[in-house]
Amino acid sequence: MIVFRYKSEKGGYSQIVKRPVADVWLKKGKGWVEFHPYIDSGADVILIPLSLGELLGFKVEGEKIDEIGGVRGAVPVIYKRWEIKIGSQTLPVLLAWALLEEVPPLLGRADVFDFYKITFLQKEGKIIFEKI
Amino acid sequence: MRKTKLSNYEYFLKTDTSSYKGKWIAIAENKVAAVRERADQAFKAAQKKYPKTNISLAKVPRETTLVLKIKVE
Repeated sequence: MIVFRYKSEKGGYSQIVKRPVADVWLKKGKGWVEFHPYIDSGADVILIPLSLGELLGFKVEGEKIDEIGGVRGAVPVIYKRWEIKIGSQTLPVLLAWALLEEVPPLLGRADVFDFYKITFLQKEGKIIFEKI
Repeated sequence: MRKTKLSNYEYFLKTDTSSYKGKWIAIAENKVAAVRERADQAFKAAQKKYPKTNISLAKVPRETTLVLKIKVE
């Protein structure tokens, strides 16, 4: 079982918003890069912004560009099969590499939500990941 | 008194990152080690300062980035 937490941040209207944050490692060459995406059960896939994908070594050339729809409109993406690590568990996942910088890094449902039973306990400030 | 060393994740959760809105931050050694427009720039700048330490990355959202928010009347 892995327990993640909420982070209090200033949202619009100067109010404090609590957002669920994960601790995820992305494969980079022979090693891993740690990053802290928001956990988003409304996102179909893991989403990473342009410069994070470039850090991992992703290239646009020769790749098929798709679009995903968000509340703010369409975002061009390239889908990648990649390895991530949550705790000590390595998972092969589908992730969407956004060709824009202005998107939040999101831990979406594809593959991840099939692997874990995920319980949001917002009042307690916890998100519990239990291996299915 | 000795300060307890937090993991990068714990440090990110506890730190007020509001002054870095829209930027990438790289965390190492209980510090915001670098702040840049891009993840790769933040990572490389932090790596230069802390070559032997684990570095983590986070993007601090702008207020308007996560749009599903409560509107206070």
